[in-house]
Amino acid sequence: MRGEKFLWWIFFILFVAFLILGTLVFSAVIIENPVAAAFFLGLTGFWLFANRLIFGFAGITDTANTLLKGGEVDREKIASYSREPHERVKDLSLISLLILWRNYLEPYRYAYYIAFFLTFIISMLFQLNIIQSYAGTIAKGIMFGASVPTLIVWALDLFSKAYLAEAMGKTLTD
Amino acid sequence: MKKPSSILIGITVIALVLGWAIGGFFTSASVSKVISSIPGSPIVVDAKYNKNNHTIEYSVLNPGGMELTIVQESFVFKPGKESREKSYIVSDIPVNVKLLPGVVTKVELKLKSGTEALHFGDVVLATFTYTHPLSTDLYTVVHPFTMGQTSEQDTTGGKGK
Repeated sequence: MRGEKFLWWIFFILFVAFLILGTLVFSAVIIENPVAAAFFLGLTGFWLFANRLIFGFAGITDTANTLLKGGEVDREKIASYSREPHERVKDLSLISLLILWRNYLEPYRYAYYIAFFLTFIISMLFQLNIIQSYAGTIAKGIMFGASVPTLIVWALDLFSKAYLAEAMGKTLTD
Repeated sequence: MKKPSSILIGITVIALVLGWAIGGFFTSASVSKVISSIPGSPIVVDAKYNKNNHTIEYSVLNPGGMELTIVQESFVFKPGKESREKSYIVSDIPVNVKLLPGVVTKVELKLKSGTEALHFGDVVLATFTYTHPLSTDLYTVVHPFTMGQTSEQDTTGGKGK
């Protein structure tokens, strides 16, 4: 018990030290090169919000691909991803479960695209000299940083849609 | 129905373009950072006499990336054949005009009050003293202005405005 508390304190001190060190390093980067700092912020910030979408769409793509090849799929796991009550999903087919999973991700996808679009519009306002400020380069850096996870999300979105459609077509012909 | 391979090709093309844009953005950011640390020397691109105010208005371009400050003006007036004014020198007029990087700034030079308006052939030899943030040295630009006689550059500049 005592050893556990000691270990927790060590972890806590390490965490605080890491936080302070990270802030120092990041502020040094901001002073030296604010554009790179903005890019990094945009990339990590948007990736944080894109994470659920990236893993969700990748999971749908992977499951649909396994179905196409006729492999084994853990039905309970897929059912749990749709966040629907168990009574509702217990008799549904695997394809329906995948569609429910995609439907669950739909609001997140929408919100994510809106956030990226707003970032894009703000950087465009600076770019077209509607707002004239030094912050234009910073806004552009954030936008370019955000565009990297957005491209990944978009690609996986299209892939999951295509693979799901192919899997659906296969089950219909079978 | 879209084939996954066609999606892959499309995404690859977009990713290449995006990578190019990001690379270009970082390059331009670092280049503009380098340029912004180089002070340029101001260029007088146009000079016009304003009869109402009895001043000469200079359009001064700062081609560098650093802000320059004109701290002093002085000029020599030499009359032409048509003027009855005597030649005179006015030196050390303290001014504080900031020349922003990459922008043409208007700089006014007040002629001696009470003197006659400029006639054809009058020459005003203006000297601008400027400083830049990197050192405490003083630099000068000398611009000869002849009334009624404009260089080719000036006429094209005048037509544009």
